[in-house]
Amino acid sequence: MFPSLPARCSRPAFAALAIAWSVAAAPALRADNESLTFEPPLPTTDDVVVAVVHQTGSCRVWIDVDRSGGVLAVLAREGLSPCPPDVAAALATQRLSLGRLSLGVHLVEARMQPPSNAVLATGGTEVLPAAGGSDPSFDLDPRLPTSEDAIELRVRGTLYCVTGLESASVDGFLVNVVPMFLPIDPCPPLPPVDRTFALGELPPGEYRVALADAPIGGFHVAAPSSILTLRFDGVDAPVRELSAALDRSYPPLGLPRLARAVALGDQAGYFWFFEPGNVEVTLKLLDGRPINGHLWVFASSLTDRPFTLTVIDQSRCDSGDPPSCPTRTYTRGPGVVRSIVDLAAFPD
Amino acid sequence: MRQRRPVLLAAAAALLAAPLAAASFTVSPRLPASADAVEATVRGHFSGCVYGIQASIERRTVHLAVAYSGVTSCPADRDRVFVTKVPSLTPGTYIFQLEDQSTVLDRQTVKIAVEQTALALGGGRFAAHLDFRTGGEPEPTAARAVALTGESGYFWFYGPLNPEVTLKVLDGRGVNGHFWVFVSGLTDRPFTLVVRDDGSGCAGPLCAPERTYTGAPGQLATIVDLQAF
Repeated sequence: MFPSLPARCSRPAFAALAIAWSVAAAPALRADNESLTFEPPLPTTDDVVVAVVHQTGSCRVWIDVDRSGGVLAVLAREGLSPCPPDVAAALATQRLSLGRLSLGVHLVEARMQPPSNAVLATGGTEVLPAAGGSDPSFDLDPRLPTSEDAIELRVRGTLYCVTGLESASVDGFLVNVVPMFLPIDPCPPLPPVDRTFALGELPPGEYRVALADAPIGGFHVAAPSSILTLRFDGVDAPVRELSAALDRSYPPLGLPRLARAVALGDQAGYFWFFEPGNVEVTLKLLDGRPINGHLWVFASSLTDRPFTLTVIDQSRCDSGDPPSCPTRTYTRGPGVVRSIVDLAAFPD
Repeated sequence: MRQRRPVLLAAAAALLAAPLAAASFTVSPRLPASADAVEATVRGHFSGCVYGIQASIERRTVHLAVAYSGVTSCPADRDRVFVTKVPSLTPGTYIFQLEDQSTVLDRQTVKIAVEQTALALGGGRFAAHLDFRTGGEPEPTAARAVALTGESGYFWFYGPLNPEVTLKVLDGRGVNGHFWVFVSGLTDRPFTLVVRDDGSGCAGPLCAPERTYTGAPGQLATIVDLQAF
């Protein structure tokens, strides 16, 4: 009845196989048209999941939930046979609580109680992380990493039957976090897990993070850059594109002259000198055109190192060879920690 | 037949328009929280029949679909930029996907954070909170906090891409036995910043587990405290 499975089959793989098989073999199984749905339709780890059994023309009573054997099941006992139509109608939809389920795909069988154990329907539901980050979530440091940064991944949450996090490994663009399970079922309430892993430097790209093969999210690693690209869209005005770079005057020997840039959005970003966690200058451009016809430049300095900040209006360059573009330059000498405010930076 | 005609024309236009060869998008702000207005800026070489990008949400996927007008004769392809607003998102991780006629052109993972008014720095040892006033209101307003790294972050008043006060806490114990606090303001609004050391293990009257820094009205505050903790 079931397809033969490998001796060791991961849970998602088993679920996928079983769900595919149940869809293919459904007509042979659903003699009384049993089917299985779940409430809520998109459960999170905070939700109590309810299995809803739909049946037609049957007096079966769904009475219990079985968690043994590695597969979650709802169990039925036979009822009246033949089944009076009014009784069948009353028993057409029955609900059983499965409780809170852990993150990931859960396969659920609807079957007869022992000794029959006949499987009448199979369904599956995917449990997503709860909002608010209570279950499992992760944070990166830095939050906007580039391929030059030593990335740290902090994973935490309250996980069913998990006592800790053993390791995290990177395989291509997958970061797999391995949990340590408590080998008993049902599990008592356990304290939340919290561990930080050093992933090192990763190539640019989109990464997925999985916990015991269940996806919990992803992150982006950008290519490093020393240029901030900023942009303004006017309702009745042409788009303005600007670029900004920070020259660290007299950098320590062996270090690049230009600071690294990290964009926070289209109109703000920051620069760092020594390490990505140590923000030195934060830059924001505000659209002051409705007030005085200019774009405004603000830069907050958290460093006493000398630097020169250059902002170029790329959308107003002339057609010369090489082109000349409106440029604003701001300098700070050694030992000076002072912000930059320019309300007449770039006229409209 | 008349009612079906626009649908047929749109379908024909979509069929005639070849899928995009290359396009990409960026999400702003890059560190969004659940109350932030999120925008996606799409850049690519588009058919002249493309009039915009339509954003929709399905579970944890944000679909950015290239939208075609219902005309059969399209202007020439050209490089174009579209900015589209994304419906509000609850905290969690989402896949943003740029799609053109069921072809996925670009995909990014975006995490929507829970709104925060406190910054956790130094691995959670330090907690910072900032209140500000914009006028004569009787009670200050808590600024929203955005962590950038384990050591740095900023507070904003009006929008997530408008940082007002930037803060970093560095470990200077190897130099003078203290943690250092740097504060830089881009606002002339008065504010009060409190940084608390939750991990000092210190108790008693000589301990000063909190440091308070203020920004005076009409001035841009720049604070360097090399004796903070």
